[in-house]
Amino acid sequence: MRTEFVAALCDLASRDDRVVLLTADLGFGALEPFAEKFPNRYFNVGVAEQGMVSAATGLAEAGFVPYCYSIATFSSLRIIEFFRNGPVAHNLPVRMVGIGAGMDYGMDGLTHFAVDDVSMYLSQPNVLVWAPASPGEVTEDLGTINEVARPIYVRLVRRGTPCTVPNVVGGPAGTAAVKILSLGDAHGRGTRIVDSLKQQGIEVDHRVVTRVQSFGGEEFPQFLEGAKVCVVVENHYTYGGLASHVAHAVSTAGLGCSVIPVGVERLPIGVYGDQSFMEENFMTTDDAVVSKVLRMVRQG
Amino acid sequence: MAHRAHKGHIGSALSIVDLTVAIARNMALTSGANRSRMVLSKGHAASAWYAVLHEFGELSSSDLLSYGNSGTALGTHPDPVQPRTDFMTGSLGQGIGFAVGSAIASKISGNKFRVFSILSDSELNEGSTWESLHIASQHNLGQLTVLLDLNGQQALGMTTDVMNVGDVGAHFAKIGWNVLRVDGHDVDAISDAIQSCENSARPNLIIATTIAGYPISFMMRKVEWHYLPLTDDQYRQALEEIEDDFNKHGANS
Repeated sequence: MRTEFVAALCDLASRDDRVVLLTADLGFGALEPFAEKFPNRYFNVGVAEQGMVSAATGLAEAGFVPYCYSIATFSSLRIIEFFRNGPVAHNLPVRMVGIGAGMDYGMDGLTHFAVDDVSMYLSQPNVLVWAPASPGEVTEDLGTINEVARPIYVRLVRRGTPCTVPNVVGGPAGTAAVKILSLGDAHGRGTRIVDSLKQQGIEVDHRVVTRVQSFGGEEFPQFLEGAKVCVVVENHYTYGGLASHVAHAVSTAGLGCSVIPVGVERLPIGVYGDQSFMEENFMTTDDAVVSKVLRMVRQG
Repeated sequence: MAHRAHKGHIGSALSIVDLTVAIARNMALTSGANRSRMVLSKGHAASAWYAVLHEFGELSSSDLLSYGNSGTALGTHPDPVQPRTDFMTGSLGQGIGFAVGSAIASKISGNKFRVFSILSDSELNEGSTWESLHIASQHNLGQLTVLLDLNGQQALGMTTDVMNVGDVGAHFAKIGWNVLRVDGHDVDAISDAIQSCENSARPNLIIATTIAGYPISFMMRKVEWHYLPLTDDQYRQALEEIEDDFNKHGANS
């Protein structure tokens, strides 16, 4: 997704003089096209994420639309107070771009795992979390995202895969008793769970969620009306992310729908491996999800 | 107003009154998109800024009297709901970063404006401050002028005892800042320094030697006045001493 993001940003910047790109000294092999085309609107601020988001606040106050690029952990946890007192408090269109959602950085370990970034951003009012499901979505939607006049967290994985799962927004809700919501790039895992449940004879309605509005979630009760179980799949801790967001929306709407979170269940430390290995070891297993769903469905 | 509201940070505010007057003089000459920006990075000294805004006609007397009352727009830290205030501050080490971003905006946009920020010497404890200071020099932000309120005090002691950052001017000069030094209670000298660096190619640091609590005898250089509110007797004495100082030095301090 990095490549598509930078290409789309270059395209955007050629049409919109407000677009500025800041990086905290990351983006080797990715940001060069922007730096070469727009040297006056490209700033490497050094390994200084707090300085980056503060500077972006100053730029946005003067009318620019700054994109701040770093690895997702540094684009979220590292700077959250600066983001709160800057773009959030001033309601400015600063875009924090985080690369490496979930355990995308595999062998790099916890310091590079963005498994709590969404919870940071959803804790702040008036923030949009954009977690594209595919590289194609990045290309197609960045222009629309650019026009959103408030703070945004852009949650990307390094590469990503094409996505054919429909979005939760836009299509009519189905009547299945079991519904699955996958956050952004987690649609592959969601699809795998769908297949497992179908083998058990369970009908499932699967959608991706790519835009999450903090202090929002009105779209979820509508989608989950009549559902018995909602499985929420995300490359994130099972607490604080999309599952908590959906559970809150469901609960406050008074729906009788159980939410089953599928995500990283404990601190992912002590053993290293590639992304798949880490997910197998630290995320909710398919078997656990299927047995929970079956139990809930069969309880009547 | 601080006495009426029974609020502290009086020593910190008095430390920067003359700096804010000098900045306000410059800002009064600008407006619209080209207006000078002022970021009070040491946000806890906001009462000084409010008093100066009142002197320059930006806040009314009733605004000032609302300070500290529930429902007021004048909190103990700056907020963009207030006039001539573009940024919320109060968390040390953040305002300077906003100022750096404003200076970048000035540099790359057609709206060439100056950016001022008042930084406390205790903010030099914050790592984020140094991030922003280095960004400013690396990108040659001559539009930026930082006034360092060098009063040598912080919340729990003298800066040399809490975290001694050494020769600040030498630090800044080493990383490419244009460094000036002034008496932080001489408004004309501060104004001259501000004017002298208007066309600088490098970011500017005006090291203003100040006295926390100036000119009140029982408050000057006393760490506890970072927090304490005034009693009625102290308030009366403070007013007398400020009047004496005014009669002695005129409006220049």
